[in-house]
Amino acid sequence: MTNRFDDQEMRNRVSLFFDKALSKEDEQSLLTDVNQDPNFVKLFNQEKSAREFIRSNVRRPSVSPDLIQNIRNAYRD
Amino acid sequence: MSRPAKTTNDEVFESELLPHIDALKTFAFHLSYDEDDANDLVQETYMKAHRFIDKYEQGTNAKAWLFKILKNAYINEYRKKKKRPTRVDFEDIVSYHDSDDSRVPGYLDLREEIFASMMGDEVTIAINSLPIDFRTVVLLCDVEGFTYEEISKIIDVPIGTVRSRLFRARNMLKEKLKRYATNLGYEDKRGRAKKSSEEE
Repeated sequence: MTNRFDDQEMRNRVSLFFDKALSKEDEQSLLTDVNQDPNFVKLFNQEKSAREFIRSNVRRPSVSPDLIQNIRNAYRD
Repeated sequence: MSRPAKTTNDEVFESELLPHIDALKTFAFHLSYDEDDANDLVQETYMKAHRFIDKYEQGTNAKAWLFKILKNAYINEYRKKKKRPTRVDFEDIVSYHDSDDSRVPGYLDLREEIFASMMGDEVTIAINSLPIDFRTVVLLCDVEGFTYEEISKIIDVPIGTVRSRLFRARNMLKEKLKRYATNLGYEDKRGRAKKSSEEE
């Protein structure tokens, strides 16, 4: 059963995991801990969804072929 | 026999630099808020990269190198040209000096139901409404997936500052998204059940 302290610590570790700020060992240890507690699984998936939502909903304007060609031309001059 | 330098540079351009043009355009667009300015920024970034190609080590982190050039180009040219000083409010200053670098907030208190209620543009509007320094770290970390160390090099600030800016930026972003969700009719009922049971 998770307590408030564990929960806060886990939130921190999950954030660091998605920020790619954990060492390989710490990543492995986090994933092991997550899989042992359904509350942590929920927390992990929630953070994952939120990040995916932000990444996939930010506007990404397209690059026109003209811009690429202008850059190529200038580059080769 | 070594190839002529120009050919090698062309190859580096095509294979290592050009593939990042979409990400650069997105970053430029969210810095400048303007499609034409973003195109100019991207073009200028590639011209500077061309000029300083000798400083680039083939096979290293081309994306981070290009982002750093673009960020500097934006600061040097666009801000000066438009004479638009960075606005930093008192709260931002306090958060810089009073920051606890061990804090790493994620988006955990954003409920999935909130996402479902949004049309999509809210994320862009919310990110674009963040002050420039905070917008930059969110774009670099959460949109482009750079590490703290890479961001620290791109924006020339210590890693601790990257973390504290991210902490503040994500909190601001969460609040803005929650506000949009509320305006769209989503009601966050968390805590309410607990509160009402305490009142009984």
